[in-house]
Amino acid sequence: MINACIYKNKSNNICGFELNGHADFSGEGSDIVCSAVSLLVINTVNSIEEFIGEEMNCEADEALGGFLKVTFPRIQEGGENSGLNLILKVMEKGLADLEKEYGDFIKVATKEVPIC
Amino acid sequence: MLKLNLQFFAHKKGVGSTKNGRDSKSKRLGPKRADGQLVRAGNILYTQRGTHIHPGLNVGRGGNDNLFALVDGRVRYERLGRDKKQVSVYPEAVEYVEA
Repeated sequence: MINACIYKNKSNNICGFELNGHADFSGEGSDIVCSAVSLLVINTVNSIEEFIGEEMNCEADEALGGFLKVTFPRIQEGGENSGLNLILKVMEKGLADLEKEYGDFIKVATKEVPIC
Repeated sequence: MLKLNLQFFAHKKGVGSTKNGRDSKSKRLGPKRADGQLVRAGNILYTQRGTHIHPGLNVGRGGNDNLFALVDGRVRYERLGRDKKQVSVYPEAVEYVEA
């Protein structure tokens, strides 16, 4: 089961997200849920880095996989970035739709993060 | 930039892999001559481990439990008691005998 957590600030802008766990839909090489989540999330991170350029903290266990945490400090402190927010909303919708179809293998939660 | 690993959230193979996956070569056991077939003395009729089929009339049992014909004749698979089977060879004047 993959557990996804979307962090939002007071103005409901996404300021980070974290995913951990394994889908366990099937074995390596045939786990379609895992590959859908991996593509969606990794592509989001790489797109933000290439097209948006917002400062971000990214922690990923690329050796074993199964853990990825990304935060955007400026947004956490109440900053705004419409382009970034759009890309993150696209990812959030993708995860929500995946949860609708494959709810036994992925759970998505939202958490409000106080502006520090 | 993160590497696009489509199995990023999948269990990795080899992590605590199973201990199974070994098997011996199959020995192609079982019947080598069918019921009603003509055989020569010495032909192997049935290869087995133990006595899945018991030796009947004119049939010998080898050291590896194989059943073979003791005389030229026709093969018959028969019941032996309530729940066993046996194979017998009934002698026949045979012009053509299948090798």
